Amino acid sequence: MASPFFLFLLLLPFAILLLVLAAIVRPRPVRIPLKGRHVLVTGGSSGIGLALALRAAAEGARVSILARDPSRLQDARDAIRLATGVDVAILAADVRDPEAVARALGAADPVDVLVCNHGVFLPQELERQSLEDVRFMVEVNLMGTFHLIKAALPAMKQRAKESGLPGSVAIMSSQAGQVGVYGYAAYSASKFGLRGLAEALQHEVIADNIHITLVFPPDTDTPGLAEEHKRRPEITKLIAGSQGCMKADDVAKKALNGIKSGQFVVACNFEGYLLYVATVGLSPQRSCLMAFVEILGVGFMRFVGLCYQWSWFTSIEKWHAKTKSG
Amino acid sequence: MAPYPLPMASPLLPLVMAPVAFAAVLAFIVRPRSVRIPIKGRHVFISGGSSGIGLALARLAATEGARVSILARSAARLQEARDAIRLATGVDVAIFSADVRDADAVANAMEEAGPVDVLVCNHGVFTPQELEKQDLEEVRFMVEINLMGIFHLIKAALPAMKQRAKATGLPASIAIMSSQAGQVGVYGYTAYSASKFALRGLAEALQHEVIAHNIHVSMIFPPDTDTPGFAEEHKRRPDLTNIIAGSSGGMKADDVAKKALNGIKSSRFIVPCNFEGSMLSIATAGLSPQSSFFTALAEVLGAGFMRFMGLCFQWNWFSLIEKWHSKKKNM
Repeated sequence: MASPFFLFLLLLPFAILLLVLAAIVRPRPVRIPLKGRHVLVTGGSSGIGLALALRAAAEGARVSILARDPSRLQDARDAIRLATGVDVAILAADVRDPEAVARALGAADPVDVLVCNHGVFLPQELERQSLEDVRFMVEVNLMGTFHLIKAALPAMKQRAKESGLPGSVAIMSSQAGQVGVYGYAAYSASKFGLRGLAEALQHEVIADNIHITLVFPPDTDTPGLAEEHKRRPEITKLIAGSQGCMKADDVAKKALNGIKSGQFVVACNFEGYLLYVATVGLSPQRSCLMAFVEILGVGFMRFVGLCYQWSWFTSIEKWHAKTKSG
Repeated sequence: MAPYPLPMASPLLPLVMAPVAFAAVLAFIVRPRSVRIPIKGRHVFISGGSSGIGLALARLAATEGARVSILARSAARLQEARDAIRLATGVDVAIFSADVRDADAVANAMEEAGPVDVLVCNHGVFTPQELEKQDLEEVRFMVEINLMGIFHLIKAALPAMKQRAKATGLPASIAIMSSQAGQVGVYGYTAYSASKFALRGLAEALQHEVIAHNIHVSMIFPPDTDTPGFAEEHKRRPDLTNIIAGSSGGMKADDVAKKALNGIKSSRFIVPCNFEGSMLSIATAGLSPQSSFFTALAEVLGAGFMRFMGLCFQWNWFSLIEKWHSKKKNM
């Protein structure tokens, strides 16, 4: 007879927490429609970008894809036409060139949903890696995204104002943008940078009804990954090799769902979900339920994270001991 | 004789054992292992060492008996700094003039300076502005100096640092001056936060790569600090940034330097500089390595509450942003 009362008492603080969270979570939830709206996907001629463009086209969006190589862009356009019957617009530009990006975006229609998906990754120990390679990753992954946002933002704000519909800037990060591991100094630097950008940007564009989404895929089965795998240092393989690989289409599905619900952080699989809770930091959260899960889970996730670091440092130690005696 | 087990002890025992077991596991798993990094008689190289936090660090290290080198762009300011340190401590520091954006100049300066024991990548620039209004040149300026500049320093110093650590058998350190803006991005700081967040990705990966060479990475996260750089930055701050960040307490450069040096000497990966900073560090611990059992405990126990505090902060900030915009509309 006493137990339901104790149960109530036990659950009460959690219920109160949930209510408080419901009142304070910001920004407020939003739905971002894609149908009939202009979705621009950079790095859209292959990998995750191509999968995103395919999905968005299938959902009735007006899609543009941006990449460097015109022939790969045409291949992509043909592939999308074949699969969905939809014609996408193609824009050729190197994201490292702010003028080319501005020209390309100027020639295109105002954007509703900007997906900064392009990226390059060359894993190597910083001591061995050339500064050219470091610079390449920072220029493409980080500066390239700045160039795109600068070029697209004014028209996006106008568009959001006129249509009364929310706009979105989605940024493809990586699990390497949540934790830095052996071999990823430059890549993780470029991807971590995107988070600082995204958190500040959300503050700056919320009043214009534009919503930021950061997507954190794991290793994804793309041409890019095949290239990267060839170059991975052994220790990186030991540490990161255990991570599951995802299909580009599944990442695209998760990403698009997250964009449509205006989520600030989008995890793509279970591991990614745990990683997101562990590294949630001071990111904004629109959902009181997710906020609740974060508060309850982040302490334990910190413990799990420390276990991972123990495992990684131990692997590194063992590898070096083996190499010395080998 | 006590043939019966104490009835009260049994339910209590697991209740007490569980946290003790947990603490024991935590103590066992914290990595990398904590080390003491001596600086007396060792070569401490500080970029951005002619003013602000860098100058305070140079003075402090010199006082503690280190052999100090400072790097900056302006030769004149370097000489003033050297004179100031000589006046205050009687110690002569070596000065090197180079722009950290120039990889070759940095490599030359590093070679001239000789092998480094403690590399303090302290230099930085910050110009706050809404990304929409900010020139791409300024964005690039911050990324080049704050991020690429540090890549240049580390690349240039690392080979000799490894050699040196091996030859002396003493642990070395690469310390990186970040900022609370490298733990959370707020209005007006897209480029600055991007450059500072990036340093964390760099540092986490770098620690994995250099731990076997007895080199330890430290990241320092100061709040607004009373420096010439800060005075400049304040003039340019957007209204909203002032409203949001203005509440953060400012610190004196000497106090930041003291906290920084202590953190470096204890090989801490994350070095907060004040109470707020400690809270922020718990909230943003993420998957960073942690060599201190006590801090790890605080992180695991405190992260949940800190997440709640973080959400409260975001609620406050978004409300301020909303109010500011509606006020503007009505004007």
